[in-house]
Amino acid sequence: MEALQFDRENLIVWILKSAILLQCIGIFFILLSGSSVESLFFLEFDLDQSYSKFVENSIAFVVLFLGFTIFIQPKTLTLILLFLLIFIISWITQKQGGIPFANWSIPAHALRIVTPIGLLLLIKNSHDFSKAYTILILGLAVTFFTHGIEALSLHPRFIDYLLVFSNKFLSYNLQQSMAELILKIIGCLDIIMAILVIVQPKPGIFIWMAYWGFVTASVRMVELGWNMYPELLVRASHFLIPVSLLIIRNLTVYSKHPLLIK
Amino acid sequence: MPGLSFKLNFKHIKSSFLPIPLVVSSICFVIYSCNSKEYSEYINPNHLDVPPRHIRIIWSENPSSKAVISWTTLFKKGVNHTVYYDTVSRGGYKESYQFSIKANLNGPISLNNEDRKWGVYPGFFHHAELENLIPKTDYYFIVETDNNISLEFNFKTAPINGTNFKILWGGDSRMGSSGVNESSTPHLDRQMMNQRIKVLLDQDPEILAFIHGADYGSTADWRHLYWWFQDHQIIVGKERRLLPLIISRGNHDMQIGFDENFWAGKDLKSKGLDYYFNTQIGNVSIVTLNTEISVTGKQMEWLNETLSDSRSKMKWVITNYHRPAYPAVKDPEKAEFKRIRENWVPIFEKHNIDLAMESDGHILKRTVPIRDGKPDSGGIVYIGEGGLGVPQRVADSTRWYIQPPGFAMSAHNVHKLTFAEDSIFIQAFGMRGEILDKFSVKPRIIK
Repeated sequence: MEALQFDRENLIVWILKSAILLQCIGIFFILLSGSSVESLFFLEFDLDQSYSKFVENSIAFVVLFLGFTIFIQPKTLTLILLFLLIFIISWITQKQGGIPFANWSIPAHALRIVTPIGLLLLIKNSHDFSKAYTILILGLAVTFFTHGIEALSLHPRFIDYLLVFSNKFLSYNLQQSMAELILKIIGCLDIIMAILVIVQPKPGIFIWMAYWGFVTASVRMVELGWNMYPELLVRASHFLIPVSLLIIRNLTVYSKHPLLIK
Repeated sequence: MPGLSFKLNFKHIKSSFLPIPLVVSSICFVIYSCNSKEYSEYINPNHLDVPPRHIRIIWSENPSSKAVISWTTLFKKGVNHTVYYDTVSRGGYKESYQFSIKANLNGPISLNNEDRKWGVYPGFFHHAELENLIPKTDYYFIVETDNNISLEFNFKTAPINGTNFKILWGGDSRMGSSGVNESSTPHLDRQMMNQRIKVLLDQDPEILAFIHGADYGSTADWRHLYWWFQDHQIIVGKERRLLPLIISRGNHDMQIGFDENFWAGKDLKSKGLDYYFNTQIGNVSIVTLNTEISVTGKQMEWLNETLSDSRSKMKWVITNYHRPAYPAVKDPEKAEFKRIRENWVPIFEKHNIDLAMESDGHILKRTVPIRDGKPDSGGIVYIGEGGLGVPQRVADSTRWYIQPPGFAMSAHNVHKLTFAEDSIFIQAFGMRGEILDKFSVKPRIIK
């Protein structure tokens, strides 16, 4: 049983490290191609554009470096640094605006923000998953809840995803009114899942969230082609974290972890 | 059953456990930030009888017979809001005007915490839609709010046929001068560009309207739009002539303040058009698109139908929208640009539009004629990308679509489009009136 637990602990750490590495690669490419970071420095801090771009690229390389460093050898300092960087990037996105629902950037990015903290808690508290589980499940719930609200509010890009997906893969010319109806149903489902994962975290919920996290991350590539892969990578935690939470849950079931037994 | 009792158990979290409070407080902060928009009707009782200001004319679908006249009052909403108008000057005496119309829409302009922090005055919007106007006619008007009467202004309605007129076009007037805060003033570069537009209008009375390619301020919150309107008041021509605005919506115009302050008339909503429309001026069709809503849904169907109809009836068909299909600065592979290129550009090419006007990048550009994603002498030229005061970026000069005869340069700019039967002559003017670019577009279909 102990060997089984050890293997699963390792597996969880590997999943979290992979999620962090993938999202760091995604952030790296997104920053390199231009983001709110350059706009902040150029427009609000009145820096020269080339210098603003240099700062943005530097942050991109730091994020990439941290991703690989953490993947090889996760340390407290690098994990906290990455957490802060991802939080700051999300804050800048919120502050700069210019994208639909920019005000919701931080809660929408909650899971990718807290994933480094989840890993930190995991490696710092060997055999005790409760803290990592708590932080990750909260991040997952907040991200799903926010996306649910965005879907209910008819996020224009989500409408485009549905229309293009239907057109390309189903060869069906979906009407926008129907897409909006589907989006409202999806929004309700996301919110229900966000609540259920907190109050009744059954395996099926995690499996659905992993599946749906992957589908929604991949749909960016469905819409505009393979070179949208950074958009998938940056959302790696959306499908890998539910998997890791499912494993933690099962692990604690088998080991009679205090998180489970009341 | 063990699985059913698996729930969060916070008692295992020690008091010295730092990250969770950190994250929870971050989430609380974000929720607080997201909910910061409030709808206040704060009125300062010390300010009485402030006259109407920010008087503007908005054109959308039928500028030969309709126009929306909008204005702002500060501190007080007031009760009686009326536009008095006539085809001859009446010197501002309201009893002398032949026509009058009550404002269709009045209300408080939303204020959020940032607006209050920056001390912007509370304002109220007023919109009146004038209908059954005579084409190609000068109209003189005053606006009144509770006996506070504006100066008399005038504008010319659009012709229903012919092509001999001029239009100004430009985009991106957010920020404007180094060292000033985004919520404050002066936005010197924006004011300079507005001064340039005024000079162009004074020099050339054939200019009928101004098309704005969007991004008026950093946001459409009142602390930004207030100063945009203040600066826009510079653009008053000789004998108090106003240039009607043809407004589009950009990625920094998503707040409710845009809807409150740029009401485009009853027709758009009743037709289900979410700030995209076809403005017909004489024999010219100006198709305004909205890049900030669904690009592939109803708008794309409407675009296809509208261009099909306009191409068969109109001499010139041009489009105006914010996010560029062929950006000269930003990465063209980013979703917001590729989405336009993959969905709208094929429709532009199918219907052979004459010119595409883009904003967003903060630069001056002209592409080579493009068709099927490559240079083609029979293709479409894309101009833009916004320089009405916003700090200018540097282009990526290696991009194939801005090679000669295309180009890109960092310079504030406003374009003048001169329509004629045999060409559209396009000039880009810099802040000091220097001509930065000029070229002609020849007709695709000779009628």
